[in-house]
Amino acid sequence: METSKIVIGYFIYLPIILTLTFFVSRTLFKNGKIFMLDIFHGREDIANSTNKLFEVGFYLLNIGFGLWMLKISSSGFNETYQNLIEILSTKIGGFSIYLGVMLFFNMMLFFRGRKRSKVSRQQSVIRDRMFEQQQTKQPYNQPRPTQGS
Amino acid sequence: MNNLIAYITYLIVVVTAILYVGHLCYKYGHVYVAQIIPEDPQLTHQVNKILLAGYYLLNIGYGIYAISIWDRLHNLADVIESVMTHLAYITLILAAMHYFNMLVINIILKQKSKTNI
Repeated sequence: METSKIVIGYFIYLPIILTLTFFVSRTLFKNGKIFMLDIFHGREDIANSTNKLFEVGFYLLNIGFGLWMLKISSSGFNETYQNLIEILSTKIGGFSIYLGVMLFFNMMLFFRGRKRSKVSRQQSVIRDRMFEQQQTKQPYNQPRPTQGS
Repeated sequence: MNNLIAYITYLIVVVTAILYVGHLCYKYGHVYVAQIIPEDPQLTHQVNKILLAGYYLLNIGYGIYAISIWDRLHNLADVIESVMTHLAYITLILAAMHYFNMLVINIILKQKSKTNI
């Protein structure tokens, strides 16, 4: 009976971290698909795959970290509800801060990828234009036979 | 008795998680392998399958090894805590491997696009 409060703590903590991870991940990757389409220049299959793989990684990392933090050590626990609430708030607060950091990190990855793909697209556009100019310059440099005759 | 409950719960969750994540990576990783080896679809398929097999071996191997180093459990709190800690380890290993794989694929694709230009 003495450890029952720790068990109660576990049963409160687990659903909270699982639902938190689920909702954050769903929000992030529902909107991440638009970024991925932008990054991969509208190629649907690879954008979808990348988004899904990032989602899997996000779930694994965050659920792994949340479960790893779960342990409430019985040595520093004095069997009162006050202590339980304090410990739980430390754990859940720490986990939400961690989750927020991960969310912003993933968003940073999205924005960086988008910027990079934009730069590479502009470079390829510039390259194409230079190529076209070189192609169209060729006739100007040649002597025009129709004017001379 | 407590240990038995822990083992059964652990094995059910771990095997399900490993199979599900492996299936997802296999399904969505096919595009990448196809991009790295675009000339031969048969080889792409085989490479993807071998990658999946290696992944299963590594993870199920660790999953079973964890049982051999399990502590004696005395009460329900111990059971929950040990199951969740071992699940956390295996999930973090999966995550690390997953990110490492994505990094390697990214590097290979980048080198390939450089040589093409």
